[in-house]
Amino acid sequence: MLDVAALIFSYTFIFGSLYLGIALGFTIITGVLRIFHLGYGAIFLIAAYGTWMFWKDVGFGFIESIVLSFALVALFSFLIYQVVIKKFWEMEDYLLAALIAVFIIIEELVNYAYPEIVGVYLPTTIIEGSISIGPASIPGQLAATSVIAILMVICYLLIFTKTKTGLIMRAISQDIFASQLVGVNFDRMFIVAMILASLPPAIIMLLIAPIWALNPFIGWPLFTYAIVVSVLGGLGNLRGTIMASYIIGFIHAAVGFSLDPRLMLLASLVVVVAVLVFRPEGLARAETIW
Amino acid sequence: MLEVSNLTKRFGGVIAVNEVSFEVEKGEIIGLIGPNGAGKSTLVNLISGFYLPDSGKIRFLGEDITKKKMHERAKMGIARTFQNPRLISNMTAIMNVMYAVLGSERGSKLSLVEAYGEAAYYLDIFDMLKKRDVLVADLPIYELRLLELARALALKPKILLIDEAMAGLNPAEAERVSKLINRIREEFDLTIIWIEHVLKIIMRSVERILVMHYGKLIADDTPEKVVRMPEVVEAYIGEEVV
Ligand SMILES: Nc1ncnc2c1ncn2[C@@H]1O[C@H](COP(=O)(O)OP(=O)(O)OP(=O)(O)O)[C@@H](O)[C@H]1O
Ligand SMILES: [Mg+2]
Repeated sequence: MLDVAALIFSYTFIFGSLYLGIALGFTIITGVLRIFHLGYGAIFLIAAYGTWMFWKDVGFGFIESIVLSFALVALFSFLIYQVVIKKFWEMEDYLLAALIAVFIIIEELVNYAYPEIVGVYLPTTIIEGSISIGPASIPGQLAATSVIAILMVICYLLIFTKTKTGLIMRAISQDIFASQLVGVNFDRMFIVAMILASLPPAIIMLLIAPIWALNPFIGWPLFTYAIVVSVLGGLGNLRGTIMASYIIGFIHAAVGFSLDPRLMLLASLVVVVAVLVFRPEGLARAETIW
Repeated sequence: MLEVSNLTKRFGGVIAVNEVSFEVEKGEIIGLIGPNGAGKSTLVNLISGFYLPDSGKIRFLGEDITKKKMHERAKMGIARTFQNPRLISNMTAIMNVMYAVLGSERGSKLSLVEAYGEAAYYLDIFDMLKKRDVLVADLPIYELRLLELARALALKPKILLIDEAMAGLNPAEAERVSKLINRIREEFDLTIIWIEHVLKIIMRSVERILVMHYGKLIADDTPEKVVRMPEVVEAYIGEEVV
């Protein structure tokens, strides 16, 4: 009994931090740009398969390939903003359709170039084997990913609360009109936000690549987590996303270890829908990113 | 410094601003009056870039700004306040002003601490320093109006467009706001276009009055002359001009 409690407790932390890392960028985009980035899932694919491409196909070193794939992710986000988001800014339905189309196109390209049989594998393991916290034993790489996810969140909170750019972004997220009024070029800030937001999913993807069997369709489940957490948290609010991540983490840990792991996602979705019925705005009101 | 020619803005069938032309010289303080719905706010919205005109031209400092975006005009030195104050309600008073400091041209060179210091300076001018940490959502209308003026001033504007600084204030508050506007005008060498619904309040502060009625500019003269014009009196029939 005590063992199960310890397992649930540690995995609440592990899952929660992982989901937080996955949803961080999505929340920033929803919070600052106030759009639903349905192309977000493509970032995971570009990070993983971009690294593989630079490494195996182009012939760069592994570390260089990682850096290049981050650059590619940033470029992708920049282009998404310039070509898609800006164009359909006032036409939300077109925007959503275009973003999801981009996601599917990237997915199909990846599936064409690197179908599952290629056996793409990225050796990004930081901690081998497992570590034990009391009676619970946790895969070391998952623990490392969780810690890095938390560090990233702290970094971004510092950016949002302690830098000029962060302050301006927070203000834009609350009132884009007032921002224009004081001479802020929101266009530039949106680009910065898009690029900042594309790094956490890329980093998380590379960290979980060795433990999560890579395949060209891995963007979807990750994207689903980002959406579930963000919706529960109240779209575009970091406080809400943090709370929601650990709530979903707890549900997954509790259901996974005491009922049936196959019910994890279902259980969390039921909870999310139930919360939304009573509190459609999510856990935190999403008037501001922080 | 500001040159508006044949400016027209329609909303559906309503011609909110109809072929309006006038010029503003540097250092002038101009009152803009007119009955409800005359088109005063729309004119300010056109000059500040909130709306784009259907036709006509706006020139500022010799440059055609008719198609420029709102944030570009703000950077050029056009600041404004709103009839219904528009501040960031989840932020504190000082953050709102600090934001304007950071948004301005010099903002990119300032550190956060310096920007905070500047914001405090502008709050102090309006005697709002003691309220610096109060959320905007918790401020009464009088202080919102002062805060909007502080934010506008923090942009170091060349021209300040004030859309009804007095609405909703009691006479004592209105008097204080009026004094403050005159003070900042002198201290910061501002050019001001000042909208009020009723002339009485700004009569003593301005040297020139523009009167709008149904979107048209029907008078442009000194306050003393304007109140004697039959068209103006007629426009205000049933209302109080002076
Ligand atoms: N965004 C808008 N959409 C439609 N009609 C508008 C809009 N803004 C203004 N109008 C119309 O344009 C006309 C001029 O309005 P405006 O607000 O400029 O008048 P005003 O002189 O500022 O009046 P007030 O003294 O009431 O503030 C009015 O008939 C108004 O209904
Ligand atoms: Mg008005």
